[in-house]
Amino acid sequence: MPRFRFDLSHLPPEADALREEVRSFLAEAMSDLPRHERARTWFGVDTDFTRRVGERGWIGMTWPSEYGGSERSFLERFVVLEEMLAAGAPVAAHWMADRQSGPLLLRFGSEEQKRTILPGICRGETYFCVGMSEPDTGSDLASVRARAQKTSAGWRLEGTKLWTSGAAMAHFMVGLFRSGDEERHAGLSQFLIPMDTPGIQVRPIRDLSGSDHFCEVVFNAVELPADALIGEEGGGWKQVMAELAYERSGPERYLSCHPLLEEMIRDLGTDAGARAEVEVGRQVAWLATMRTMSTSVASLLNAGESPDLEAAVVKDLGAVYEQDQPGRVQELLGVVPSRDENASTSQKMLAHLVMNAPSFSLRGGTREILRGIIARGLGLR
Amino acid sequence: MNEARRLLEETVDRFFSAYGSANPSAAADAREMPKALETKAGEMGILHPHALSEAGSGWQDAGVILRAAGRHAIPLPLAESIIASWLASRAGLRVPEGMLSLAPVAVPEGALGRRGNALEVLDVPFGRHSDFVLVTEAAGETLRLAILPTEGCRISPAETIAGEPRDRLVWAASHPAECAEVALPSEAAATLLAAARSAQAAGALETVLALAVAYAGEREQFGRKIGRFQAVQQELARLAGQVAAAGVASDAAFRALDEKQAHFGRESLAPGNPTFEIAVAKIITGEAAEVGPRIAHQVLGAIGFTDEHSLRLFTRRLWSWRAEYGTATEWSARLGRLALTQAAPAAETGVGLWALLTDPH
Repeated sequence: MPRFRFDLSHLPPEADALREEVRSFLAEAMSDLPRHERARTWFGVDTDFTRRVGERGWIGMTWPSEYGGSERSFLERFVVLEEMLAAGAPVAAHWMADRQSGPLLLRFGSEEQKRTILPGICRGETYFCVGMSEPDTGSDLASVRARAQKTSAGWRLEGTKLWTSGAAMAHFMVGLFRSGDEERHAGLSQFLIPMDTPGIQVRPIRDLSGSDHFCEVVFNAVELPADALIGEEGGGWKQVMAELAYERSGPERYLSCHPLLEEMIRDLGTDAGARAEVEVGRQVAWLATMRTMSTSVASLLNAGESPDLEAAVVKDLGAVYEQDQPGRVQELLGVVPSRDENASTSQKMLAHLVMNAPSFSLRGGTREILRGIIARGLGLR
Repeated sequence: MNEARRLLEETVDRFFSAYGSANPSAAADAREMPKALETKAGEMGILHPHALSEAGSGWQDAGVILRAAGRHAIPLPLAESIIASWLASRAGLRVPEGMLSLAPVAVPEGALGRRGNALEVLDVPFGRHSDFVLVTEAAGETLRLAILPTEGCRISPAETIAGEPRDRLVWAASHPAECAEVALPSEAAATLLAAARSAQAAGALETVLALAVAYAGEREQFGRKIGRFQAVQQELARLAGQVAAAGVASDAAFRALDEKQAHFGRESLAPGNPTFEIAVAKIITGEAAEVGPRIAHQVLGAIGFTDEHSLRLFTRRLWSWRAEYGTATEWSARLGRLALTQAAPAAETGVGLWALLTDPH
């Protein structure tokens, strides 16, 4: 049985100064944001904020400078991310591009794609969405049916993508399409798709909390040039798996409710009683441990390794931890979740998070898929 | 983990593993402490790791040794010997030849040096097998220590549910030849033992997972290996997550003991004091000691519940260790009190708790 690689690691010494820099930036940039809005964490959109983060060099910060990046380490990026998430900064506009679409292009994209796209991402001006799921394709990603047909000029796309977060504001999609006749994992390719291409229709879908970040995207005879292909024709599956590793290993997988935890501590005050102390202590213990584990995975990534198994473990534990939080906070504070104008900050945060918590173990790989990956790592399948 | 520590882990693991296979009943019946095991452990230097008495990274080595001991259910007072010798060396007491155990709870002020009075200490791990016991006494801001020979003392045997000795020792008249003082709080021994139990638990949990995975890969029902059923796979994945978290939390405690050793005991619990990480480790391993055995016993079914299967060596130890030197709830209360006292006043920034966790100390 293989052992997990969770060697402890330290953030680099330069991290402390960077942390201070990010903190003072956030204190100023978020001064007008109502506290309850912080509960949106990485789903909060503020394009002006995103542009300012870009100006600081904190988007694409590990990428080469020739593509607009700042050539900082993965661990420095980790510090910027965790500070933004802990504060509940509205990072959604640049989140997908910074986390996965940019790194994907950097690894598999053509020189032309890198030169034209990446600098705009780094400036906080170009936003991405990721087209993977479809009406009949969720966890079983290899059942993708949307087609890319070769034409004399390039490619023609037909089909529907579903649950695509941020499609309505994105400038580009990285979409997974079936480009060959092969079954399942073979015959899939990824495309760089400008969202203003004729034939693309975006329909936002309202979720149970009233947000409409995710969308249905319909492709109706969408014509793309030949150079819209990302990487290798038929290599889509391998590329998507690499992309998902970026998606599963970050600190967003246990900090989704962190602003609520801070608010709870504020509400409880210094004399909260034994029951509150036990609950807070337990939360602190898990937070500290999730952070140690996540730092360890970030170090493996920094060293150029692919810690897929460890990332799945962190995401699974993190989802349980953050999914538990709204209910526990609610029990402890004894308040009713509410979106009323006059409701308290914790009531408003709870309203948002109680309703969004079910998605924590769905997005980025369901709990069952992640545990399947872990079971495979244990040699059970 | 650095190369030297990895080598230490391999060496210790090999020794424990060979011992365990050759003496399958020893771990089950820890009432007997095999002399051969003690002798070899002494020769290997793992009873009093050399690095611990000097500056450096001795606690992380100790963590590696204790985790390995947990992995193999080794019936020795390793944790007690390591901690007692560290305390002794901090106080400038000479560590005698022979097995040294530790009284977990400090005796009341004045009890140690009072001539003519009987001295009683409770729950001494492997007390009956030890040649000496280090006893601590709360003395105001400091801790007074003495190493007492067990020869001639009255021993009332008691055991944990795993059969590990936790004996009551009474000296008719306590007059230690030598006492020394060290600037540590009265609960120093118990706090270090809490760290040790978290490492032992992390090790035991690794074996619990290995046993459950191995069994799921052998046992067939309904015409296939039970490990092929998704219901079983999902539970074993959950167990693996708990094992990983327990290992990380316990490693972090021993790293903190090395890196922040100067702050140990300055206050009982504060950020920057390794007791913070020890609290975290005891909470996480305490929870894992609930979830882990439950899943493993479910997977192993009736055979895992017997007195023949080795699973019990690890689960019974986990059930007793989780309660020793502070349950998850007790440590949570202390950690929560600290977080609320320090983070709530800073909450205006919106990141009081976060700053507590991430600010350089």
